[in-house]
Amino acid sequence: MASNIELDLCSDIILSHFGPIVLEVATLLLSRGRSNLKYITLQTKKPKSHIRDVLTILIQHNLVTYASNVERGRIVVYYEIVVANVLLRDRFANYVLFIKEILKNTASTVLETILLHGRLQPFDILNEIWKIRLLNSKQKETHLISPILDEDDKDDVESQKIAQRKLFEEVKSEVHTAVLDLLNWGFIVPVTKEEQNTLVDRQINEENDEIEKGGMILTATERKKLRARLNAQRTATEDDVPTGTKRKLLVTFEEIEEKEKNGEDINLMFDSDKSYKVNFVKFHIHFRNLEIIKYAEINVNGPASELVGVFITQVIDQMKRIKEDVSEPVSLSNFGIKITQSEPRVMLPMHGCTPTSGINPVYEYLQLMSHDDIPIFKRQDEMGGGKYVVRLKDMATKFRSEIIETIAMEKCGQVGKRVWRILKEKLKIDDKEIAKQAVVEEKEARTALYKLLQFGLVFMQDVPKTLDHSASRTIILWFVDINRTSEILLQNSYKTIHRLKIRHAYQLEKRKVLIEKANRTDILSGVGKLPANDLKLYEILKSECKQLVGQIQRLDQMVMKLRDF
Amino acid sequence: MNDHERMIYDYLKTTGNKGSWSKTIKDRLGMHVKLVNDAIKSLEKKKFIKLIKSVKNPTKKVYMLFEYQPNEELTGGSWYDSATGFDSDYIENLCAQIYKYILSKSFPKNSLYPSSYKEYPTTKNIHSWVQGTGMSSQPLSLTDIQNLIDRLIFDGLVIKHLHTSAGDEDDMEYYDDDMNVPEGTLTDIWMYQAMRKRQFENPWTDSPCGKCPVFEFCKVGGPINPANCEYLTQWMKF
Repeated sequence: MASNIELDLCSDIILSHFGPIVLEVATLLLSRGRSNLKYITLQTKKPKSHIRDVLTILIQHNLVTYASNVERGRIVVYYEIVVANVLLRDRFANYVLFIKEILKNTASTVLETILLHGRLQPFDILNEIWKIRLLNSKQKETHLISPILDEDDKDDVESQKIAQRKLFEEVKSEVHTAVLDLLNWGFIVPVTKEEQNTLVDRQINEENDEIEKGGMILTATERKKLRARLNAQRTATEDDVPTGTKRKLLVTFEEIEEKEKNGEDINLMFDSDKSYKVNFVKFHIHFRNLEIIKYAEINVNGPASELVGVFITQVIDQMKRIKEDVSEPVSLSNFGIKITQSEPRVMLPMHGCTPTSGINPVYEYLQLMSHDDIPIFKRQDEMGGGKYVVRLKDMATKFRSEIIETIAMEKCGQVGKRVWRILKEKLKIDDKEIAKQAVVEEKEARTALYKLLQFGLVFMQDVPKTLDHSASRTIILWFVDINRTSEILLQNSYKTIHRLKIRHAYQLEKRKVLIEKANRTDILSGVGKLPANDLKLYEILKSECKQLVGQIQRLDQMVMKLRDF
Repeated sequence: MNDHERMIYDYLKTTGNKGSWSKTIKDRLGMHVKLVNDAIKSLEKKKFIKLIKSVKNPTKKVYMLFEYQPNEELTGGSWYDSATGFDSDYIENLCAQIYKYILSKSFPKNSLYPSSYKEYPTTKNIHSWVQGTGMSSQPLSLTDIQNLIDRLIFDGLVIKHLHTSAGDEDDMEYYDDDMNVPEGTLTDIWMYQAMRKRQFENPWTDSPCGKCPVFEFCKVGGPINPANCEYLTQWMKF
């Protein structure tokens, strides 16, 4: 169940993205949880058709899932809001910007269109992009041309139609390429029927199917074993394969030959009948990889980050899930060849490395980054000169630890950070031993420990020597729990984001009149000018809003490291 | 020695280098406080016992036999000064100098040392350097230097590498006949490389909410709320 602050944030997002009408239904689903149409209608006191429309919008945007149950001979559909998807809506701008950097502008426009609509079929994507292009090129649509034409006008209309048709073909080709690129990179995926159910519903359905096959009533222990077996099967298969779908060839060689004979486009890799939605996991995988590259640059040097970049390029296609332990292995010999072939060529400066020294700089850099304090790589086995993997889980833990250490440093000073790192390494120890390890006075160590405890960065366990738990005869052991602390910091981050958003809305509300003045058409076109005082206030408002929005974005980066990596 | 002095002397012999508080002596031996004080004065004059001040409890009078060296618990070790107590400035300065020394040996010009590089400084090297330069006003043991290096590791400024690999024949030198590591040998098993100092930023503590003393109390519609927050107003002006 989501926390109160997550529910507040979701309400903010839904209100700003969809308005108060959708918010009413969404608030009920957020507070009540899984509900059916009858209950929602009763609570909101709105007509059923209205509720259906709202639910359709939320399902279209992948914010609500539904599952049907058979109750007393009737099929009842339950709707549930997906809080994680709602919270991700704040990050849409980052996704679009990322695509703009790695693919062309058309791909980012396609992605933006899909994000705006939730899910679209390829034909609808093309329609939307075409509308945008028409608007940009300021060309009128055919039906807007006046029916009263003279000879000269008819020629103009013909040439306009030809130009429009030419532009349409260009746009169609660009959109086709962009959609294929996004599909191949994994940034968009087809929507499947199974995904309408939540993960829990899918698991329940699988379980029920297995029980029906067996045809027996299971005891609690047998049910538990069945669940464990299904869980193991589930984790063994890839997540992007819809549950229960058998893998099959979509098109055979004969079909491709037939299509070529008929002059059809054989490179059509996507299904025009399916809807496509954005795959947020792929973006998070890329963002995580960028953070790993940045980490190598800061902790080792620039060439090391380039090496990590080339390594990750080799294994990125096999990264399907964000919570993998390690990447696919790459052998040293193969990787060495890739480094020599990289464009631009990655130069790896290494002391004492000459053609006759026998030092392999690629091997040395990989070894340097296999250290526990720079846990990027791990040598997996000795085949092919040694296979290396990227330690994805260790790096995610490292990012979280760095965030916690920084907060310990800010809140409790250098001693606080040192004490936290001692506890992380030594597991559970008492304050005397901590003071000895940290080479500080016991009093100082104890002060730091209690301050860290106050902020949820360390925890304590008391070990009583007597039955009455007398304070003088109780040993207190201190320890850190990164997952627990990450959860606390995540909730704090949500609260801060929520408050910054409220302040942002308040600033805009306070200067509502000024904003309306500044957005007048004469001011925007440059014909009129704002008075000097108003202009100054407007500039101040813009810089304040920029600062607030910038801080929200930075906090979202931290939330990504704590929650999504 | 008279009987009372003999009793106190025998009791202090049993406490060894930990000594005993005067009140504890009185309670254990069941003697009158005047008798205890007179006997202790007499023994001190004759130099059979001595008074030690504990760093943990400076007001307590701890007595022990004259020939014993006080325990580290009482004296506090190398980091305690009789006048100022725990000398944190001295430790900070020493750590800074050791870090600079390790940093000077950690990176060649514009490149990196290979993973097989074995010339990073060990505890023994650092100890010899500290003693050789005479930077410390008092002699420091290998254990003291090791404690300072560990402190730098916990500060994230230094990382350690294994000096020898497990399969080397040279390893046998580190073991005695019973295959135990003799004391002081471990100082050469690890060598230390410095990490460059980094500036850490945290977006939560950079925002006013991260430093706000009433963070938990702030809520929408409350007396302290984001709309009228003074800290946010000042932060936006910055």
